Amino acid sequence: MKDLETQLRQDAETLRSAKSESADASLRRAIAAEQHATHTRAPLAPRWLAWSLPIAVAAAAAWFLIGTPTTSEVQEPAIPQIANSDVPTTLPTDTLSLEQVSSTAPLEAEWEALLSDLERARDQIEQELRTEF
Amino acid sequence: MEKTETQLIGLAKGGDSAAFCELASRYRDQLFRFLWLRCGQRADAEDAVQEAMLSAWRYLSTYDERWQFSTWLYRIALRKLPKPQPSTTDLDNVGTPDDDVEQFLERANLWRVARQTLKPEALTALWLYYGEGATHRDIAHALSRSLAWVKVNLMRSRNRLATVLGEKTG
Repeated sequence: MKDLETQLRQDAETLRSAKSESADASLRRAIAAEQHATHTRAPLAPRWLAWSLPIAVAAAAAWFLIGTPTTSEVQEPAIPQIANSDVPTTLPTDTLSLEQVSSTAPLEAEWEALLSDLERARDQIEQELRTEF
Repeated sequence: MEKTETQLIGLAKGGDSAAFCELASRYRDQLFRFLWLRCGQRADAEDAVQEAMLSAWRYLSTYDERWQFSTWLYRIALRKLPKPQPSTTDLDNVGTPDDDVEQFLERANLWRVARQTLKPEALTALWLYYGEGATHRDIAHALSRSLAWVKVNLMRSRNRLATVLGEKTG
């Protein structure tokens, strides 16, 4: 086994004599081109997204909080006084109708869509950062 | 006076591209040999060297000085090699008659036998150890493997080569 190791080291000399044919100049040119491109190129979309994302989140949160009535703003419907003997025959008019209740659904759907968009943008940034290196 | 590697790295990290090019010229041949033995084609190896050097320049700020600079370059360069053809991924060896590195190595060269016998990653570990004198620890880092994997694979590769040589001579 010792002979094999010696032989491996000796035979490696053949390959060690091999030289790359690419010149230093080509690397210099590539680096110079890259530096030039970095200085002149417009901001990339992911970078733009990176700083605009927190602003978008803050704006969305503010919009959601302002658009949603606080607990103190919500008026509890007056509970009709019903005597034991009274059997209601009609629904009280001051309770929330089905349309009123379901009117909050579009707001939630928009919020979900916005969240989903933000998550997609975040995934895209992470993906691009991973693939860039 | 010639600058040391540490000085060049420091300068290059500060944006000195000339310092980086000098650093690159010190490692170009070493990286090229490593890639040529691995992929077999001179042109592919040359391209991978160039791409690896450019990536190293871009991400130099992430280089960790605890490791040798060459080890870091090996890690980058391995990602730059062209992917093997689907039809050859099942084969145990990487050597094909078309590989120009096979023609460069003499028929009796042990590395030629190693290319035809060992799996690419085992061949790479063997080359880094015997061809470039890298430590077990550096090889493990370059290949993103454990220290135990490196030691076991070096031993297996030696045994495999000894068996093949025994068969050839015997």
